[in-house]
Amino acid sequence: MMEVFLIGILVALVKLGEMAEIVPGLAIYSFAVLILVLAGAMASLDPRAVWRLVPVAG
Amino acid sequence: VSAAAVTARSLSMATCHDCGLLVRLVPAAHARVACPRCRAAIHSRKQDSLRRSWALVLAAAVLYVPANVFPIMTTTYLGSSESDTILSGILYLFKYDWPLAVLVFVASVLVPVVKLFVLAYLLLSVQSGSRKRRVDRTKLYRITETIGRWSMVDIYVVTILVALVRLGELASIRAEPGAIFFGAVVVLTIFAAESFDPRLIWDRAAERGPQEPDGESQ
Repeated sequence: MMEVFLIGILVALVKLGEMAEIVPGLAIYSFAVLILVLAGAMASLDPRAVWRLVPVAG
Repeated sequence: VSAAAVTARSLSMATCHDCGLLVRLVPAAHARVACPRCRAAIHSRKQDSLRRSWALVLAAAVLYVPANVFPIMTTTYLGSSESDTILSGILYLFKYDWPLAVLVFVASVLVPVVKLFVLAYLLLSVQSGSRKRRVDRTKLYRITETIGRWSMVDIYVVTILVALVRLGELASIRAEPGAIFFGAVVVLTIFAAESFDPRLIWDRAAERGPQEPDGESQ
């Protein structure tokens, strides 16, 4: 959902362009990279590996 | 080595929806089967899948109308105020940044409509027991499931703008009822896709097989 939020920020900034001048700061680029890294982390985590640690009753 | 198609259901087995554990279903009528690992209820198919999806799809279709008719936000800038619906917001965006406008158009206008039609088609085809193009229909389901959240873009835009622009008379942005209807449409279609069980595409017609204690009812 965070990538959707990032696009939302971009659209909001474009819409504000008429009222105010907006200079993107370092954080917005960091946020973009964070999304990429997080997507990679989500893709490589195998939930079954975590569930295997939980004992099965019966 | 070759693979032979076998369903868990035909072997009286089921995977837990929550933790993915494969369990053997022991015939004990009407008992609530709990996953031995995570204690979630075990169902061989999503419960009441068709009924729930239909209800959510229809509710979303009804709310789609006010979502597009009512304004989603009102911009007050230097004393003059202007209300935007989803469509007029996109038209406005076209003047400044057309690739972004195309993206928002796809996410906010096309995706919800396409999703509603695709889900209705999938539900109808499952109910009629169609055996045609089952691989394609499964892929279609996967796609609708993935693209749904992109419709949230407009909700995020309104949220960010409302929070950022609070300069009183000089400039301020207010959220309008359309945003709530639109958000409801997006959430309902996400739930509708979630409650549809793609395995039904393969179940029906193929095997009117072993009855299950807690699954689909027609």
